Amino acid sequence: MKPLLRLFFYLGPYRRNLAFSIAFMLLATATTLVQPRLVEWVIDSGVGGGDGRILGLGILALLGTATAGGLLHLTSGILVSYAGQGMAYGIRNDIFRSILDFSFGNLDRHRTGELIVRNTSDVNTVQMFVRMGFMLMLQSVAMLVGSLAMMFAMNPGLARTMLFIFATTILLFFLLASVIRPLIMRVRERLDELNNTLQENLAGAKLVRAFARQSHEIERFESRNQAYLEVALKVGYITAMAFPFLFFLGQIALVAVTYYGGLMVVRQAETPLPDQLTLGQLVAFNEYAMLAMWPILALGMTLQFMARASASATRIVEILEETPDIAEASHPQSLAETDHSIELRNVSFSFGHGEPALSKISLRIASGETVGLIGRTGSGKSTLAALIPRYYEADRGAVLVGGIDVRQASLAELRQKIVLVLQESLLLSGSIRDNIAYGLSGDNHDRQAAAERRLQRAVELAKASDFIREKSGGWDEPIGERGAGLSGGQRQRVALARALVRNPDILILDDVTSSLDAATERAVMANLYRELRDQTVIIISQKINTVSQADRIMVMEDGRIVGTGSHRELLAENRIYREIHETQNGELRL
Amino acid sequence: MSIPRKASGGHRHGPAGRGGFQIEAPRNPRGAIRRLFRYFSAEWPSLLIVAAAIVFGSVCKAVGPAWLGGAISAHVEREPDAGRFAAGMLKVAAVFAGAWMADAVNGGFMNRAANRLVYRLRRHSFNHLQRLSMPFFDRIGVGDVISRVTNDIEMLYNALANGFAGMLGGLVSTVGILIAMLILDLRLSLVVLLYLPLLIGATALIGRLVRKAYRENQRLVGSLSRKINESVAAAKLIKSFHAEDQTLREFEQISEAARAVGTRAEVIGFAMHPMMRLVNGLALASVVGVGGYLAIHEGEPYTIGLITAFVIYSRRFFEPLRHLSEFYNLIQRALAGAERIFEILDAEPDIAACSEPVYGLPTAGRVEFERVSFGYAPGQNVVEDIDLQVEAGQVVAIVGPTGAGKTTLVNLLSRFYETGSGRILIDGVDIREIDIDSLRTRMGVVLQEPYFFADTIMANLKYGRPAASDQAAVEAARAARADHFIKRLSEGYHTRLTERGRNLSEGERQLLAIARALLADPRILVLDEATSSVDSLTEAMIRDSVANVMRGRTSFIIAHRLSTIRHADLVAVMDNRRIVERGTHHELIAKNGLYARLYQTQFERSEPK
Repeated sequence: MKPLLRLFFYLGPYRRNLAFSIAFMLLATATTLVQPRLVEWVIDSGVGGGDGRILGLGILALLGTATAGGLLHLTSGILVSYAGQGMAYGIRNDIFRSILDFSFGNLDRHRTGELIVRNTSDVNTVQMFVRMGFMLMLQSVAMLVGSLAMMFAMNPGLARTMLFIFATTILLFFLLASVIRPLIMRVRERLDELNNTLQENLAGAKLVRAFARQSHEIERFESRNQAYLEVALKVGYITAMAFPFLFFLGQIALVAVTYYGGLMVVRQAETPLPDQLTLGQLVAFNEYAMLAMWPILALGMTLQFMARASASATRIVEILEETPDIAEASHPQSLAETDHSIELRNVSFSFGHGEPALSKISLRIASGETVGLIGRTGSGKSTLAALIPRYYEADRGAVLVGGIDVRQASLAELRQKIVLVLQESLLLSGSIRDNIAYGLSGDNHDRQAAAERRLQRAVELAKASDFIREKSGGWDEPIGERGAGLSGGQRQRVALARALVRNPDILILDDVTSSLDAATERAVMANLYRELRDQTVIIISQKINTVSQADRIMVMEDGRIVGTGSHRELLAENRIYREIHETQNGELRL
Repeated sequence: MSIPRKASGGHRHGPAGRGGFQIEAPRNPRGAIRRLFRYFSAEWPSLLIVAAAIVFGSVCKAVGPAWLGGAISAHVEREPDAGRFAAGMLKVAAVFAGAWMADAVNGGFMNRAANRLVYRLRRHSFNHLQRLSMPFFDRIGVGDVISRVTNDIEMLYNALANGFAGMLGGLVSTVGILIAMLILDLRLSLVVLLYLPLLIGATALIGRLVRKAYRENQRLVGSLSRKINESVAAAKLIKSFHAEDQTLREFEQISEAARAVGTRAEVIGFAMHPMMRLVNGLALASVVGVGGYLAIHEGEPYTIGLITAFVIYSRRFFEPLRHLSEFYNLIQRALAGAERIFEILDAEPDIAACSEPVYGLPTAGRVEFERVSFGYAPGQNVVEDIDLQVEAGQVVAIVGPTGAGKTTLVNLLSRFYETGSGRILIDGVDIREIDIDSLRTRMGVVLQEPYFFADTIMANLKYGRPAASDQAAVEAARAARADHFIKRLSEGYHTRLTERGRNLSEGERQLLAIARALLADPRILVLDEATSSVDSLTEAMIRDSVANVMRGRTSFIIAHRLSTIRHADLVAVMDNRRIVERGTHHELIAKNGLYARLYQTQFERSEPK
């Protein structure tokens, strides 16, 4: 409930809309509540009194209230739609803003699909609740209270009988709901299990066939299918009994009011009572009984809406309240323009509770130096790289860029200065040009021609110009989501060109040439070694060939740096480096 | 008001997926209905009861108000008589109780029939899917198949359990009420009927506008979720280029458009409710007005009892009609879904089982490709004229540039796809004549992108051989060099993997997949780029232990990294759909052809500057 209330604050800017909407809805309810009294008047004075004029006036009044009620209701609905959609718009943008504020650590904890659901169907559910749940609930209460009040005003004795029946119905309703709700949850769970089994089976279709496990899979699915059927049938039977029963109670209310009312009319004919009941009043009472019954049934629906909306709201608020692990310093320091050095002082880091990914690393890379980082799968190379632009925060120790602790540095400047090209090349849908020019964003001072020159140069350096030329659309060739339509090697070159366009002071390449064929890779690396003389460059790779020309090479193993030196020095002194070299050059026989 | 029989359901569509408010039409509604009917026919006892309950309930609902009005007219207005009035009201209560029982029976049995039908449909679909082979999944797409068997079947259930019986019940009771009204009084019936065209016209019009607006809305919601999807997928990129503000602006633009269209769709949709109230109010006023006028001027039979009965009828009469267009949409969508499900059930397995299959092969693992050609699409061969003889116990490496057709050979050997022309022999028998389960249980294939179930590592390791002991599983993991990282996980071998094993790194997944294949104790092992994400040192160690485990058995190794395959007994070099060179590593180097060139670029000595 609390999260739902919190999201209701997003209605703030639309409070006038909402207030008018509620007012109109209450007026519409009032017009409905007036109608039975008009019917009474028509019957008692018009029909009973034989007065045609009253009959005509009464009918006109009935038509008038019906039309007015419809229009009021429509207006109310339009107003609340604006408010609800406005609220959804606000929530959506805030969720998206939260996601953009997430650090890498936050992002690692969420699945993409989950975040999409938060921002689409969960927002939808909350927004629908405003219109269908919240307003309907208000209206139901107004209608119920209004009808009861009218009945008490007309005939307290009869009204008390009605109140008793309604109270019983409401009580029964909640009783039923408490029985059914957990069952419905179980149905949902079993259906999810069933669908998950299916999804897994199909996603792993090739595996299932490769190991010929179809009969096992069929058994697994069958047991889930039966488990679902069992509970679905049970819920089905109970709900099939329960809801018509509530409706039946409504009918009984109608019969009861007619019976007691009729009885009074009959007795009055024999001995006049002080508490008079006319035929018209009886009909009016009947109408009120029906009007009061409807909200009781509608409340059931609104409660369902509310349960769903508050579950969605809880999930949304979780996202909104998740604090990014990494926040801008309160008084960020500016980075030096000319100092591109990097220093790690006694840095340790671990993901969650596992073994440390980096332990007590200290290193210094001078401004303008090119450093190769080599080591086996899982030795901590990528983790080390990600600490430098502060994608993750070191658990212990300090990371300094240009002599300034990254925790004190302005995030914008830090990321303007450093570009880390990731192992998996993330491309956006759009043209090749859009993707490479993405690197230009940040400094808008570039003139058109200069920007074009930068693009060309980056593409030349990344050896991407040939394949771009061969594409039918050239630079404007569209790329699908996540780079669909390009080969792995092409994707890597586009990502590299994008980083080069940015012309960062510090460039970190995390195994970005792994999908290139050997000749292209060599050409790209030669370009980088030749052209990036002023920048600090870190090249991460599993391959000796890729890093061998660096000024210095660092060898990592189990989260530590176990050797530093030139290719020759390491070959001579470092066992791991030598082993890697030998496996890649065919001299190691295991 | 209609209360859904089942509160859950219908909300499982993917954000950008099909469904939501999109209204689709079945291509051949009659055919789909006929087939559904066949599925339904097994439920005929339930359906018979449902039909009887609907009729009985409708009669009760039609008779109730008439008796109520009649009791008022007869025993309150004309000849006041408390005793008879009480008896009359008891009869009315009994009739309403009858309506309740009828609704309960109708709902219960409809639910039973629908659930059982859906159960059988799920079972048939799943079992059939297990018989279908890879070309089918290529054609339809796994995501689409999943959506059909989950969303479409659920939609069908909703339509059957809620829509179908509701629509039928509503229509029957409308007819019942109409008959009751006509019997009671023609003139007042006409007054009520007067509003029928108005209601139907308005419902149809609003329905069409709503559909159009929602379709547009759906499109925008789709692009919203695509934007989120892309931004989340590329969040690391956005952050590393500090492009948060720009991305947010783009999102807000789409969000704004979605708000505008969403509001319009809602406003149109909202018109239905006040419209209903208006019609109800107008009908009430007219019934009371005309009835009252007639009562004043003509008297009998226009009594207050009669007017009361008509007031109740007029409410009930319009209620089911109001939902007709919703039901219509629901049923259209369900039929379209049913067609998609039937399409799956109709798909013939591309890999036909042989009538007299040979069991227990392969044994030694001698493999021959004889002039094999194959293409995924007709007329576009991916491999051509492949001739290859592999003796039992040999290690064969297949190398060549991307797209040369290497993986296709694996697909044909494991019979994921059927050879186009030519044939593949295993231990001298055409693989089409070998029992497919025998073939596959005796072959260990490690695919490029390994798949894992959301289960423990142990259970995943044993997937190919459920009877294996834990000890054997650990040994296989050791051989695949997976033991090292598994032991470091929080719960070792009992650590649960998330779907597809996403909580492991790519390299770790590959090691685990190799362990799984080794545990299956295959006669023929196929490693398709199985160590591409593993470092070269670990890879060398795996190669060594795999050679140990596979001694005397046949192995196929596909790799980009040529260091992996240098020890192979036979190297087949593929280029442009064909095998262009074959021989041992040394022979091929000496030959100085494509292999030598590939090798040269990869292993050229590092030249430090």
